Amino acid sequence: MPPPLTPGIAAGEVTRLLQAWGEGDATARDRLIPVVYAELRRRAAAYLRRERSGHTLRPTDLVHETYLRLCEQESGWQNRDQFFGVASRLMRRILVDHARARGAAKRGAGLHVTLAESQAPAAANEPDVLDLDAALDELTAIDEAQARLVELRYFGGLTLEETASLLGMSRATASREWRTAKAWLYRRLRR
Amino acid sequence: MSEAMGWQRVKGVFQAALDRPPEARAAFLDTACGDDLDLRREVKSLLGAEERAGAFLSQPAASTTEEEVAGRRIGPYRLLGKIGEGGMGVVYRAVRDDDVFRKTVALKIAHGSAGPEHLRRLGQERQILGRLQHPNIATIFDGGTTDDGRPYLVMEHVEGQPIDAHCAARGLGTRERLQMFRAVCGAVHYAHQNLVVHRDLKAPNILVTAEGQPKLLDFGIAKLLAAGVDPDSAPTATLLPMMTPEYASPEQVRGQPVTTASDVYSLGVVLYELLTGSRPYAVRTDSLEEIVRTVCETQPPLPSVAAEERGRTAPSAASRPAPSELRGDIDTIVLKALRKEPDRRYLSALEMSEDLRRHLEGQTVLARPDTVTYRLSKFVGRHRLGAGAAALVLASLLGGLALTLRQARIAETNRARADQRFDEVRKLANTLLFDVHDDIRDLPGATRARERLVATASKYLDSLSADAHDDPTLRRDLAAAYERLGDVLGRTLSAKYGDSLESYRKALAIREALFAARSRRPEDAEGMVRLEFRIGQTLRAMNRLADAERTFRVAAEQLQAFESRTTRDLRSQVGGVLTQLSEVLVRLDRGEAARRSVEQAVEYEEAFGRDHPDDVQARSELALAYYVDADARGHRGEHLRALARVQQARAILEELVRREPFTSLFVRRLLFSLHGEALELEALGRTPEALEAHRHCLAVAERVREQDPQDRFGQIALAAAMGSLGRALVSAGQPAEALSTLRSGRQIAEQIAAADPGAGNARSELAMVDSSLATVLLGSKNPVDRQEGCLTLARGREVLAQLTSDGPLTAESRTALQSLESLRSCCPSLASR
Repeated sequence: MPPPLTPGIAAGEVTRLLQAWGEGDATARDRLIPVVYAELRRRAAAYLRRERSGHTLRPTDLVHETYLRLCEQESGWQNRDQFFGVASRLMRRILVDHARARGAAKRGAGLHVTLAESQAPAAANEPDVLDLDAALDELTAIDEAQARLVELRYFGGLTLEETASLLGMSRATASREWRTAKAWLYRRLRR
Repeated sequence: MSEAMGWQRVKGVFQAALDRPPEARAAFLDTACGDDLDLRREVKSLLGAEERAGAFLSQPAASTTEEEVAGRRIGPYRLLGKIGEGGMGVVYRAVRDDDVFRKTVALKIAHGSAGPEHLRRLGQERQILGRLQHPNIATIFDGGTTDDGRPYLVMEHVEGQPIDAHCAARGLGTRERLQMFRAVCGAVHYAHQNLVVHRDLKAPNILVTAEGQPKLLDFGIAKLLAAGVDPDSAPTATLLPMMTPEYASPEQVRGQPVTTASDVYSLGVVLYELLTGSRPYAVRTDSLEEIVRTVCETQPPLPSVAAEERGRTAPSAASRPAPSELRGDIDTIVLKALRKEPDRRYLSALEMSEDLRRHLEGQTVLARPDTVTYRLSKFVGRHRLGAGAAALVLASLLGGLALTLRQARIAETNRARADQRFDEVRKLANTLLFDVHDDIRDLPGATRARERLVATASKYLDSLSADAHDDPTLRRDLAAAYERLGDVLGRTLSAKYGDSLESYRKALAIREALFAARSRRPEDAEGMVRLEFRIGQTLRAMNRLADAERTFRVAAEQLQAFESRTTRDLRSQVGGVLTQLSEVLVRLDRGEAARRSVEQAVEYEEAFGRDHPDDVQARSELALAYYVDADARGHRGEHLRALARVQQARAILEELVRREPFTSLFVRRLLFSLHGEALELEALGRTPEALEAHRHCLAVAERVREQDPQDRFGQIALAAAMGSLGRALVSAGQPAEALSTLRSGRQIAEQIAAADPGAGNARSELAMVDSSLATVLLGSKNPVDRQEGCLTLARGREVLAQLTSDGPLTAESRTALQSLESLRSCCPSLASR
């Protein structure tokens, strides 16, 4: 028997909210966010503790686990996509908060934000989370779909196929948009 | 215009540019952006960023550590753990989930991502590599691209130790080491016969299993994956930083084309290391300049000396070859493999292996130590000039000779002495022109020097002709020299067919005069026919079909007239002339005449082959006749018979290429037959097979081009192969891939045509490609595509107008013209004109 999730929300409620949101009820989405956020954070914290024994945080795992936890087996694929969309955005927030909290906001000092000092240095090409967050806000203003795509892939850890299906694009279009967004962000961050 | 609208435009052009090969993008931007310089600047800046972005954002936020790799899926494979990481990519152990045997494989993922054109090439290369089946080569099973567009390869997972470590650990003696090395040579030779070059041979790439079986890893994939790091730049130049410089040949460190000879060099380094425990050169720097200097200019110590040295500085209990075992033969063999000049190394890995066998069996080895003959190149080497520079020195020397020669003739004071001097100078000049040219012909990077040499030689010959009225021997020399010059000009990418033709005509005029005035010697008759033949071939290449037909007919008539004094040389030319004539007739759509002529050619070549069963040249002539027969049948609509015929041709040529992988004539003719076969399969509606055949043909063409990028044939063949694949893709309903393939082909054909307006073959290809491109683009719904389609249509019509003014069009050009005319109504600006 899983422990209660968040006071005021019963198990199965998440699925119903997802369905309502899918049918156009915007308030459903607003009610969903705190629940998912709380669960993601709880899991993230658990990961962060385990880090010391050699594990790191992986957004894909987190998002998938959170989904399984919140929605059990009741939801269809459509809901799952919506859920991942929300979760990716929340992951972004968690990672940004995490970076701020660690006082790692030393812009331009070449220090990449990782979730644990003990971890091998991140790939040289990994951007500063805070810089990326700001650049993504700018991209959203110009091309919202592209910014969403980056959020889903980079923060949500979704594959290109999953992303494409979620955004209702063909794989080829998603790939083209991804390359465009990457180029735009790269230029924005490295200039 | 709002910012968002501006962005939509930028994005549209940017994404359309991404779909094109990098080299075609600038031209595309010119068309797409027109006068809008801001748009162009913005798109260019994004393209630059895209290029540099590499693995940026390729891992989701927060990177994964090693143990978490386990369980990750790449295509149908599940990763088990990391094996290693190199300059080119990361290697994992993996299993295929649906494999009941749970066989472990090695999966190598490139660091960088690849564009669509690059992915197409990767797929082709992978097919070729997949065909390499040899017990000493780790097999490539599969490959693909990861979610984020990085290419990966799946290959046999080999458990073993690098060959040097294995030999040391087992304490193998010299004999056993040499025997194991011979097995490695065998594997390398096998790959070379399949036109695959390793490019990164080194001890860590040669693993020995517990059973003592050596296995070569990463065959040919150095280029495959390295190019993935940056799909837009020249593959060779990006390779060096990833190679181990100690194993790289001089041509590799200079960024020049890599050939089978480069692998022979690396084999030399491996053997050196295996026998002495040290490498021939110690590279202790990252500076490219230093590396080039060390590898290209210093001589390594003899293996026996290195072994002695090593024995002193690092004595070890382990058995190691004694210096005395290496002195003599082994020193000579290893250094022959390590020569700076590719053409002075062993011709093949097999030849090297054979010399080692001779040594093991106590026979005399074929390798000889360097001799004084090579002083000149050593001199040049010491003065930090490459082989190309050496040839430049010789070219100016030759220029000087022409002057000396004239002065000698003018100096009438001592007639006898002047004549003697004239003779000496002529001999020397002949040596330089022929021997030196042949020596540097295959050297990479010698092209510019070769051009200088040829230009100087041609001036020199002209001045010599003025002095040669009454000396038949000298005039015969001259005719031979002009003929040779014509060959060089006809083959070199930067030369012009017109100049080649002129040189042949000078040679022909001399031969004709000699033949008429003198004793009608067979060698002059042979020369005349051969020159008519070459002139005909050149005219055909220039697309001057009517002139070519006339010339081949003259050659055929001459052969008949010379019947009474028939030599083997003359007889061997009969079939060739008929074959070429038939090909021209097919292009002119003269079906019945072509049929009669090619039947004669086949009959003749078959008979000639029966009389000379060991003549490989005659075999290849027969194959060519079969190929043209197939071509003629295809044009008559007899596709089934055509297919059978062209397959006969291919079988012969494949056997010849296996036997003599370095004879470029055979490889070229093989390309013809592969192309012909693909076309017949296509005509028969066997689309999947046809596409596969076209792709195979293109891959072979790419290899031929790679072997000598300055060779004109290789370039034209590549353009034609791309054009044909593109057309087949259009018919197969794959417009996206068709577009990128056609564009790449167009690019190459355009370069050739721009360099030589006389290159009718390239212009004719251009017209065909434009017609197919226009068909695809005008079928698109995207207005940018349609606009480009109309431009392409106009361009194609211009090319055809020029071709028409040169003489009759080929059957293929006429088809292109018809299809362009029928599309005119799609473009309002053209329809009325």
